[in-house]
Amino acid sequence: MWGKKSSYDLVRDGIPSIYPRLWRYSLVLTSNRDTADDLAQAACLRALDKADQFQPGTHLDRWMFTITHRLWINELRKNAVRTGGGLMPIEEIDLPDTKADPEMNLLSREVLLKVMALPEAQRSTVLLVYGEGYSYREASELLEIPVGTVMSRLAAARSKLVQEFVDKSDVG
Amino acid sequence: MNKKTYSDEVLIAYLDGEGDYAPIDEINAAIGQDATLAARIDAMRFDTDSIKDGLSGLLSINSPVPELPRKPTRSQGNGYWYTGIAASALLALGIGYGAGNLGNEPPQRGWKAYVASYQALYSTATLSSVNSSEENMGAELLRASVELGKVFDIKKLKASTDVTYKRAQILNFKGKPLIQLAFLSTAGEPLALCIVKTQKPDGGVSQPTVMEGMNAASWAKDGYEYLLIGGTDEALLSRLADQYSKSI
Repeated sequence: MWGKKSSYDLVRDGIPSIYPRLWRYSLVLTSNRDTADDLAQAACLRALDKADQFQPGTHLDRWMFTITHRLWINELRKNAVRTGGGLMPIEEIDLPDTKADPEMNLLSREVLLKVMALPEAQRSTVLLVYGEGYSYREASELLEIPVGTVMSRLAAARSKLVQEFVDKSDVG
Repeated sequence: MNKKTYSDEVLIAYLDGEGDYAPIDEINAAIGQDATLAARIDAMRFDTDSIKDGLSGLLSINSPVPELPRKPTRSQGNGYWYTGIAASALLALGIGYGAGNLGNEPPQRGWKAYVASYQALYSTATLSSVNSSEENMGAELLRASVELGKVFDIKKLKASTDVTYKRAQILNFKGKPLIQLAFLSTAGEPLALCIVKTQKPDGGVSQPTVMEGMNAASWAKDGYEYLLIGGTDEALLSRLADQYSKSI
């Protein structure tokens, strides 16, 4: 077995490069920076705990997104709401100003604000499909919902986004 | 000629190039002959790159990767166990891990240690925005009272001028209720009075100790064990412990 990484090491060594995306997904799910920290950390620990179920050669990111999603839906959301970890306006999260084009940055930020204002199910699906670039099928597998539900969430989300930007000629 | 009607979902799939879920060639052909369809599709267009760009801003926020244990230790249950901040994160969210839960932890890490880890995650901001109405506070306390089998009097929780009572939370330790009553001191330091049922005989207030960098004192009374923890003002903690051990 020399030279072969265990599932545990594969998961552990793979987490750091995935973590920023995992944290972003956590933030999109929770809308709260502190809860996102906790959720992303908890997802890492859950992944390590279940590392023997990870199939080497498959996509670690998708596996961890599913773990994160399950943690949030099944165990944490109720508790976060109950303990007052409610929504935090996205304006309160310090977004970095890294884009060279300030106008583009402003637009992106505006779109981000609108995306974060969507209902949780819609914004998480929007993140996975448009932010992460997963196909409809991949998103449905990851979220463990039918493809039709992914489609209806995206249709509803886009309808709202289009309405928000209907007068803006630079989005279309 | 009969014009085929497509749902919004199918048209979005068309715009997203999802050929498995939209007849792309068919719609392409129909657009040229159906101005209404073309208008519908135009009205649905949205620059999804702007969504990707907007969301990419969240990737640059510095959120450090948690410490990941290299060599896990198998607990007596089926899961691994971890220490430090990671375990605190799980407790803060009220979840277990592995096939078991916190019951798989080594016995020396008792409820007070977990409470300390949890409390260490608190900051002024955690509580400063908590401003429940008297009615909500009363309802919270009622639920906590029912869980623990002990009645709490909000007037006694609000009696101190050194701290402001903020809220009651029902937590769970090894399947048993753990009530956390949260306070914010006038200096802005979060404190918590945590209570569990116990078989221990009554015992007076302990000398203040330091747990996770915070002052802490505990006592047992009438079948309940109390831990008051938080802040760095030892005199304040002693004063409150003395007051609450008599009044609550």
